[in-house]
Parts: sequence; structure tokens; C-alpha cells
Amino acid sequence: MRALKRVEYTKKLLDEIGIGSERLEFFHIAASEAPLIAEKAKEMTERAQELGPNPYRIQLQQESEKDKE
Amino acid sequence: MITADRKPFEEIKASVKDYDKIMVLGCETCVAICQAGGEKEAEILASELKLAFGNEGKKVEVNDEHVIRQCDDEFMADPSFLEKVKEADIVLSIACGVGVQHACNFFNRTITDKPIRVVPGLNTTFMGANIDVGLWEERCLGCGDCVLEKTGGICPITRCAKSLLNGPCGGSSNGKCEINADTDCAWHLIIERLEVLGELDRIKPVEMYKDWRPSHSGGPRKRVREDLRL
Amino acid sequence: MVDYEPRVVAMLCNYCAYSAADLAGVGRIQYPPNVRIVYYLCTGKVEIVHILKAFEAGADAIFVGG
Repeated sequence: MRALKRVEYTKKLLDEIGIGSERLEFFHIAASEAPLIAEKAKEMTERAQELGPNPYRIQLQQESEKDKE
Repeated sequence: MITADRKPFEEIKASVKDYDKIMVLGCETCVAICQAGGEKEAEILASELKLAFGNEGKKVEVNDEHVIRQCDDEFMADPSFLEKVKEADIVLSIACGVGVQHACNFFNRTITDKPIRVVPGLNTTFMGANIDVGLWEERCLGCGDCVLEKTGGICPITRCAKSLLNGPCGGSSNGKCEINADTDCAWHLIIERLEVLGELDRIKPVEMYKDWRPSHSGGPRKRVREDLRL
Repeated sequence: MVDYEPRVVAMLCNYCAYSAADLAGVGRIQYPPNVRIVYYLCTGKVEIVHILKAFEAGADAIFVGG
């Protein structure tokens, strides 16, 4: 599957640039699997909570704070 | 086409780390076709650099640009493009080695008020064909003296590891080369092909040594067409 | 950061995961409000640069569903 391969390749790039591959995931979800997508959405939100903010976002925030000053 | 591989990200990052304004310059010809240095790859690399430096708390400006060909003056002569080149501290060219050198030469010829730094983002590999989706194989060495008419259209100079003119050698087994089992024996292919063509007689005469002077062994080459010169 | 609210981007395919998310809405299945959905006609169109740009824009996690 094209998307899966591309996601796997991008995971490698994310490790190289220090974002971390664990912030990206691919899931197979069929149209009928509404509970599954809710579960995966929850799982990724929890994972993002554990990992903390994307390091680049911290930079963005600091810059915007600087701009406010 | 000319194929290339992207350099390891760490190496690219190290070569541009001292500059604040980086231009990633893609080339839309050969390296775009082999998905190493086209517009898309320039965008990806620019984004990667922004994120990687951003993570370390370093603010850099990374822009991505692309031209049709970096090995030709006319595709880079646009004044608004040259203005952007001038504003950048460093140009990270993801063309083949020809493109990197020519872009550097051209920028420094046309922009005279400051020297322009150009560094490569790719390792240029070979002249090859797109055999299948996502697969490229070397097909020509540019030896300057083509023998394909004698060998059924299969190049022994490129595809035989020893560049033999009279083959195969003793290392050919079951159609594969002794260097590894993935490499076809060029001479096995040549003989099979000549058999199909009914021209097996072609390999009977012993080929004498090759004149390597038209190849790179005779030094850097130059091609002039007087009728085209201005 | 105390007030950290993760931002999750979901890149979903029209024919499978997006329909599933739709169905989750119809079926009133709860999922976190942190998820922002990007709609694709097919996840085969998800480009590497889309993912990287999402991180540039401040996404904390991304998942592709197809």
C-alpha cells in the first residue's frame, strides 16, 4: 500500500530530524469501524500527551511570545 | 538519465549549519525523475532542515526553489530568481555533480557583488535507465567509443564488471556474475541476444584492445560544435 | 508546559477511515477533541511533505488512516 510505505519512509525522516518516528502512525480502518477510529484517536492523543509537545512547536511558541513583547 | 542518491541528512545538516538563510535548489530534469532532487524533494529537504534546526532552538530561514536544469545557463537566468540566490547565505543544490558545479559557476559569473556558496545535497551515482518503478540500473559509462552494434545492444563496458570486450570470463555461472548473484553476466546476455538475432558469428573475431583515449582516461572532455558557436 | 493540549492531526481516506469517523459521529462514539481531521480522497495522495508541514505548523502527533 502506497500510503503505508510513504508513512514508513517518513518515520525514518522524522527520526533523522529529531521529531521522533513515534509521533506518526498508520492505521488500517474500514468504513464500518467507528469504535476503532475513536480508539486510535484516543491512543494518539494519549501518546502525544506522554511525548509532550513537538519540540518545533515550543520554538514557535517562544517566538510568538517574543513578538508579543 | 543521471541518477543520484541523497546524502545522509546529518552530512547535509553539517554542511549548512553555520548559515542562517539557506536556499534548497532542486533540479527538474534527471534527478527529479529518479526522485532524488526535484521540486518535491527540495520541499521535503527544506522542511526537514527547518524542523531539525528548529528543534535545536536555532532559527533559520530555509526556502526551496527549483529550476528546469542546473546544467544550463538559460534556465537560471531569471532576474527575480537570481535576486533570491543573492539573498541566501548558502545554496544547497540537489542536482547532480554537473548541476552543482554549473550553478555555482553561473551564480558567481552573474552575481558579482558577493561570492555565492553552493554545496551539494546529493551523491551522483551513474548514467542509468529506469528499469522498473523505483529501480534504476547503470547502462552507460560514457567511454566515448560505442561498441553496442557488435554486442546486440548490451554494453559489456558498463555491465560487465571487468569491462571485457571478449567474454564471458570464467566467473560467469548460470547467467550471473561472480561479483554477486544479483548481477547478470553481460556476456551471457550478449550471447543469448546474438543467438536470437542469428548473429552469433559476430563474437568470433577477437576484439583488440579498446582505445580508452576518448573516455575520461584521456582527461576531461570537451565537445565543440563550431556551427552552433556564436 | 502546564497548559499543554496535544494537537493531533488525522489524515483520513474518504472511503474508509473518514467514513468511520463519520459513523462515529452518527453513533455518538466519543473521541478526543484534540484530533483535527484532514480529508483525503485517498490516502495514497498523502505526501511526505504534507506530514512534515503539519509538524512545522505545530502538530504533536499525526496518524494516517486508510
